[in-house]
Amino acid sequence: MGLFDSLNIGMSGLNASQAAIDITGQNISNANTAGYSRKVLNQSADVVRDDARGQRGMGVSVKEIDRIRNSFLDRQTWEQVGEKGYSTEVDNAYTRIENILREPTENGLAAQMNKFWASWQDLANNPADLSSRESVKAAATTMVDTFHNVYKQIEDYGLSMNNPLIEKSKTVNDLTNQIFMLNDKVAGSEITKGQKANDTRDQRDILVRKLSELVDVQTIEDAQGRCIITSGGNQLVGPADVQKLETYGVDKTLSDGTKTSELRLRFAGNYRNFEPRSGDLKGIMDARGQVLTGYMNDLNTLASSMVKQVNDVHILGYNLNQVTGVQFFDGNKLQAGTMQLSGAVQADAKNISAGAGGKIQAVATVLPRPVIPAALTPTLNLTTTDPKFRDLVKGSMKITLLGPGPAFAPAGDLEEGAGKDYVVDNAKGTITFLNYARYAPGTSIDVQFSYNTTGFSGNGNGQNALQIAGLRLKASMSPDTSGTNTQSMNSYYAATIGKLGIEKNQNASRKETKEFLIGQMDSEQNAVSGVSLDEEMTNMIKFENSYKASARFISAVTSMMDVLMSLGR
Amino acid sequence: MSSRISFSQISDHILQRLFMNYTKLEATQAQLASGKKISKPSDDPVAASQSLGFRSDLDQYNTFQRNVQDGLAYLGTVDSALNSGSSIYQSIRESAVQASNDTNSAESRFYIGREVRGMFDQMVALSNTTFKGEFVFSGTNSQVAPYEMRNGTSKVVAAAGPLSGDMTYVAGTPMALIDKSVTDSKDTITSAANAQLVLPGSLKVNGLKEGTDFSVNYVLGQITFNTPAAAAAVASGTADITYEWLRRNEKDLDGTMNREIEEGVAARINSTASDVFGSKTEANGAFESMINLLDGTLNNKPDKIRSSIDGLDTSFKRQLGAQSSNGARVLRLEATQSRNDDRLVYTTKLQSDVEDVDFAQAISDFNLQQNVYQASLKMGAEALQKTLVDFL
Repeated sequence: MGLFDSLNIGMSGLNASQAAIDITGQNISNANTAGYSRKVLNQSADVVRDDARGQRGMGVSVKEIDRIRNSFLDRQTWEQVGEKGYSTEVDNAYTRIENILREPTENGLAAQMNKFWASWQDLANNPADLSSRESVKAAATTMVDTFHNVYKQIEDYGLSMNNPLIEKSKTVNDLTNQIFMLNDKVAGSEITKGQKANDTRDQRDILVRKLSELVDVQTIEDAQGRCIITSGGNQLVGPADVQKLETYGVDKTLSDGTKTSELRLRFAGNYRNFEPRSGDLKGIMDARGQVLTGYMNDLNTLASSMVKQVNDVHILGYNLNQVTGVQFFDGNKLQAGTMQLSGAVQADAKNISAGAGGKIQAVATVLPRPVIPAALTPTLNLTTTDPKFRDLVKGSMKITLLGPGPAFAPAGDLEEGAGKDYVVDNAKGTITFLNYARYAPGTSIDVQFSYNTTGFSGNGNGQNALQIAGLRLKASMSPDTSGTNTQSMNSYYAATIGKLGIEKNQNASRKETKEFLIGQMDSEQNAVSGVSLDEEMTNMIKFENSYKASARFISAVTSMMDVLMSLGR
Repeated sequence: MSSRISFSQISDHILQRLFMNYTKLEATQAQLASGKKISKPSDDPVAASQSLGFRSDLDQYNTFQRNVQDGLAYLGTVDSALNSGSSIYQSIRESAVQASNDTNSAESRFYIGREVRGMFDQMVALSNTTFKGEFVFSGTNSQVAPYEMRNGTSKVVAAAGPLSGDMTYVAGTPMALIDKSVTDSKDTITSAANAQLVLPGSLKVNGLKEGTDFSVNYVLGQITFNTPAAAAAVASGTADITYEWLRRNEKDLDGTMNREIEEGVAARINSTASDVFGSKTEANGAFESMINLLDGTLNNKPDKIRSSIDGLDTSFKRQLGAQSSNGARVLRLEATQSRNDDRLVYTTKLQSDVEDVDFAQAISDFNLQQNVYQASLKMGAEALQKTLVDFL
């Protein structure tokens, strides 16, 4: 054991202190670098040999530079980031619909519907007045335009989602590609050179986090340190390759008849559909496929109810030309995006039927098989379903048996008359069935007849307009699938608006929760891996001092050597 | 040892809190600027949905109020018409009583008859009262006048062809007067052309004399020829009859006009021609009685005058009945109007509670949030300033 050994010990101290100072400098420089994890020097005392007095240390050796990071927390964060991305996209859709519907305001659909109903009331007061008719027509046109406009804007918003789908799928491809290359770099330095690829891992974590904003990300690190990424049940980044995404179009016809295509995602390699479980992309898909479609369906339900119900009453009335049976809306256009006034009303406001009365030529009803208790005469009362079916036109009744089989009950027309199949009471609107043998279980019958309403009673009659105005409060829509009508059209729309607010709030609070959680986790991660300047400054003073001390040690050994050398003179 | 706090942790926290405070501040600011608590459904879904309901209610109450006001105006028109009708009746009755007096000469009765004729014309004008261009006594056929004065022409021939409109001569039997100028839309003379309510004194037959050559039932519009002179006139083709008559429109004048004044409540506002002047088959209708009176006065028939007074009384009562129904309708509408007003005020308040900002609350919230925001800014500036570096 000689003085040269002591010099070496001093030297190793100098080296270690310098390395530590370098790392401190690196940490301070990157104090504000996103995704940077602080590094610490991993050093240990060198033990070289034992002698009689015990182990002799041979200075300090620098093992490696460690990255301080909680990778478990990273994984959890990535999951939350994906869900936040999802909620954000869905929230955008809700916000957009809110802006489109503009409720509650003076110009929204609800206001236009109110104006429409009020215009019928005014017409009922002045049924012969042309200006009241024109104002019904104008109110209806404005309401229809509002339906179109609102529906079209939602539809357009759905289409505009094609663009972010293209951009974001490209971003996914970029990210997976970069991660794949970084995987190679990590494996290259850690396996081949045996060095920890700290900064490369930092970079890779940043990219994975970016990726997790777009799609759900499940990661596994393989033996070479490669990060294998699975999303939506499919491997995006494998050990040897990357699966690229691409968009493809599905044909779609818009409400105005324009043909266009809606983009979807699939893998470029095998054309399998890509279905992420969270992230922006899933958010875009759900916003389009569920949120927008849902509200478009609600609007369609409302529009078709409006068309059908107004028409049902309108065709019963008389217009100024003393004609009955005219539609108000075009009965073939039942969608919010397509509904229209009928050609007759569009051509001339005189064709609006304000007056009560009218004969309805052919009403077809399919009735179930009459219930026939033995010995009782089965009577079907048409008035039970609709009180308007009274005063049937004599001889207009035509009843057809629909199935089930020829042997027991041959299908075909039933004969009217005593001793035949049925008799009709035209005044009461009832049918009495006589020939029981023809009504097998499962039989249904098709009934067609004409009936008189009260007849034309002058242009000053506004009863029919009043009836249409009364639809405002009529419980004519079912809020669920039960089929029981408990809501008026106005309250159906109000409920839809309420639902929109509630859903938006639920989603927004989910988004806020996720943001809060991410904030917490980032903070927790920061507590572990973030740079604390105070700590680094303390370290700097510590390492600076130890460097100085090591230098002093070397100079002490040098003077000892000088003493030794002087002995030989 | 306490947990590690890194530099970026602090800055992140400060930023996050600043954002949160600023978002709250912005929301309150938006409320104050618009005066509304809810500008979009998600601000308060339940309130938004309620607010739509209130708006719909308000809109409806306003419509009902419009209906009521329109109905009241209509009823007012009817009422003033009926009022002047009452004064016409009173004058007519005075004239009738005066004329019935046996001291009157034929001439003085004739002059009374001329006065009655003037009042008859007033009554016809009254029956054609309009409201906003619609005839109020025509029921739902409000585009047609219920009564109209016409100048009728008829011709009596020995043997008439079908649908020609000519009357076939039959001696000594009442023949319905057929007005050849009345045709339907296909230019066909129909039963509607039967001229009833003929005005006494207006009927002329070429060269023939009323009373001797022919007699007339003015109410039913029938003429009876009695003499050879009449037969000769018919044979020579000069039996042309001209006259004035009051035509009651053959359309249904009894339809009811309603105004919806509350949900599902329709209030009737019109009085029909039958309510006021008597139905088509009524013997003691307003115009029937007046024509009898005219017949009695112009043609000096005291018995007719006396019997017409009964008829006049009956129709006056009928009209008074119509007037009191009208008054009852006015009362009903006015009651509803004040109820609707109450509902309007109440619902407006509810809507305001749901939609409008409580300014005192919002401003104090705003100030509080502003203070918090400023405090967090200041705190952030302080906390971010110092590190160990500053002391080395």
